[in-house]
Amino acid sequence: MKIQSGDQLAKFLRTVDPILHTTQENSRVIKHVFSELIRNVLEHSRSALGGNVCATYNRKRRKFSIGISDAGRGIFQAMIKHHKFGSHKEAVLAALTPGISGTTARLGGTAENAGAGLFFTKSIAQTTRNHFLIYSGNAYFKLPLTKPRTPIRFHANPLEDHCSIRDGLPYFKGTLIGIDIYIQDTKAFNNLIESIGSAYQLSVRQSRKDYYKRIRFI
Amino acid sequence: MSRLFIPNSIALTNFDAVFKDNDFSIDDKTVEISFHPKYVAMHPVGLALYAALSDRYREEGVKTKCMSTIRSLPFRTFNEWDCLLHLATAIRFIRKNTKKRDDLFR
Repeated sequence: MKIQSGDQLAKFLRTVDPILHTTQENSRVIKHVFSELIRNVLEHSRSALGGNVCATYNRKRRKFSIGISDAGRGIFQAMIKHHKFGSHKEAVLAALTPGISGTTARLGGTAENAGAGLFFTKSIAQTTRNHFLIYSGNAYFKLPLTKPRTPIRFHANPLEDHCSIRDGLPYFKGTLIGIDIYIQDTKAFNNLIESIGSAYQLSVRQSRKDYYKRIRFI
Repeated sequence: MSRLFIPNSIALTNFDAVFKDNDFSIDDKTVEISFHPKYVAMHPVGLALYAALSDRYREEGVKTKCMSTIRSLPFRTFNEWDCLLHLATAIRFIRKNTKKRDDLFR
């Protein structure tokens, strides 16, 4: 499906509900993922043809697979105005760091763009112990499956995640995101948004502390 | 002539398959597309990738040449088929009598 405007996004989110075959709480999470990722495309990508949304639902495994892409300017170009990066890999890692937004250099972002969307989406995949991939320019970041007994931790620094990062790949103009989500009515899944939210606040606070520690007033 | 090879299976586990024999370049404005002749099954991330590439081809007026046609396409839920059609229209590799087949993730 093609989405080229905010109205189309709102219409898509309304129509997608009955197709999700799940509880209202679970569909809230899925719609949150769609909304965050498509908003990123519409607000930051500058893609003339909008974004592409693809999804499948595996009823047997109760798993949603989502792919969202655009042929826009990519993460590096979208963030370079306010941040300094030497490579696409650094830009991708910064985009996954909570509190870093392409619209401002300020830690914690703005009221409209908190720099939390991709961190939230990645954390949702981590909570459900699933795959997550983001590919832009010549670099990708990928979360592999995690074992059921491994404790779930949300790291502000994506390099601390159990992940695979590659750069020097064929150049892809735009951004591609893939995520799998298991729909299960577990306690962890129901408290998902709250727990990720507190992780975000803690990490932004820590980043600010670290930043001000570096500044010395003479 | 640049080449785009679509592997017969793309998932998040084996995403690196998309880089096999591909550099996504469009330097000479013509791309030769090839793929497994019988079966292409992919995670939505694969569809999204090729949809974005097809957008780029459209924007930059890239001509495409297809080396084979898909006989049947797996489809599952609400928009994969539409996306494949969108992609297929863009890169012109589909045949008129291509059939839908509901057996993805068997």
